[in-house]
Amino acid sequence: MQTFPVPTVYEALNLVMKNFPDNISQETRVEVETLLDHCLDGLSACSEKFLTTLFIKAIRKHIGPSGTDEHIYLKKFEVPQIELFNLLIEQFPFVKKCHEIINDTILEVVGDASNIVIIDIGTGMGVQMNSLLKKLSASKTLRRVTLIGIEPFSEALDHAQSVISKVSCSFALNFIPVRSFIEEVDFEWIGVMIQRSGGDLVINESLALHHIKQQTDRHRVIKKLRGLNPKAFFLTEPNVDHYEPDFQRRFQNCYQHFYHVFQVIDQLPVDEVKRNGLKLFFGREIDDIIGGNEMDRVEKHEPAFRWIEKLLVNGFKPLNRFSKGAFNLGYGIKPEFDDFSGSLGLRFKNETVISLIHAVCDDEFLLD
Amino acid sequence: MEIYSSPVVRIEFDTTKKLLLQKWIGFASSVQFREAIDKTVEFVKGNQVKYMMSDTTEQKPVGPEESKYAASVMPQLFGGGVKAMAFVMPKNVITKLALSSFAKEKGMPDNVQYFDNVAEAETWLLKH
Repeated sequence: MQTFPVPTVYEALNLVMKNFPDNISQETRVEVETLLDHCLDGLSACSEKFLTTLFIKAIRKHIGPSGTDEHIYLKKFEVPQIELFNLLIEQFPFVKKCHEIINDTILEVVGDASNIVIIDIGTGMGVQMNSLLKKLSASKTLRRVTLIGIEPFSEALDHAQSVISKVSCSFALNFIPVRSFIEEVDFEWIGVMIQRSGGDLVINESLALHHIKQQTDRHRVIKKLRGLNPKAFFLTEPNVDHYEPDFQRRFQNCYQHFYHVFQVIDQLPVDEVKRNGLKLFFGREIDDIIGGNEMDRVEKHEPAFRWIEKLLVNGFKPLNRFSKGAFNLGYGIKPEFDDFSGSLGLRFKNETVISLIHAVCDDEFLLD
Repeated sequence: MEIYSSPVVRIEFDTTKKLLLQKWIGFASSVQFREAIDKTVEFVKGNQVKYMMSDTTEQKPVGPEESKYAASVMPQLFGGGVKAMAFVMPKNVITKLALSSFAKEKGMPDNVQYFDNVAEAETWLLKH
């Protein structure tokens, strides 16, 4: 059979995206259908085809149905939620290693304190805090820990409470669940809780602050957190600009980011169905970033330097101080401290996929 | 001589070289595309066509069903006396993908080749 150089799916997807969302015609619909047909052939074995299919899925709801339904092809890769969850926390390095690095660093910050308060923003199902509490239990000095877990979804928060209540601690643990979005939290009440507890405050947020839709609210929340005068504030955020309002640029950022994430997923020691199930999970984020309208989007990630900017103008300063215990990341991922932004990036090839920030209060900063 | 013309394709036959040329332009609807394919098959059946060239340089993508349709008529073309067929590659990347689907659909034999320009394609065709 004669062959010829076939363009990359990215070239083709880029062409499709140039017409989206404002120039949809019969011609562009045929382009989408042709590209989808190409991707569905060999979908499970080719990461780029899978990724491109997820992008097409994200825009299909805007351009209407056509000949092929990608859902039928993708459905076979659906993995039960609980398996996916375990896969993410036990195997996926961008979750597992971030938790380890941050938790080990919190341990160093806590040092030989006897009483501490932890605020965990976006506590989810309590995975990171569960593991932190177990680590803190090795402390010989700690007598009391107050953990304020902020999470908007009741089901997750109930699960977190159940998990955390089962941790066997060597100290008195007071878990205070707060069912709320962080931007709607009553910070005065939180302040009272901290005062009552009396210990040093450590704040942690993992993949939560980017859900705040507006910049003004992001600044307001960081300012309020600064007002609580924490000993340390840790942020874990994807290092990518999905806040970008220009669709074409946002698409390019998104593709670049998930292209690298998927290459790491391809290396996980799990079967093809689970690998693709995990990719499908990220498809929900792509749906939001690419297919969601500007007012409703929630996955509005920002690169680390922007979070640092917000920290700086609200009275924090970044520290190049992370526990190096979990720095053996595997999968070709390298830890890289960025002096310019003041963040620790987990870098795969030429993409810093996720960034960790260790910030402290800038004592020279004058609070309002 | 011109065999068929529409806003999306011009089909010509060079009686001396026995060469049938399809020159595609822009986006063809399903109906327009299939009509051009049918006209081509019809002409090949009734005339002594030895060579075919499909110049897709300016062609916009065709859908998967149209690619399959075009691939399905290939046996009729070769059965009708066509010895070799050349494609001039499209500029549009998605049309290239469509062409690769077309090629994959039938598993193209050695007497079907792909070229970057018309001159190269014609030189190769007339050697057969």
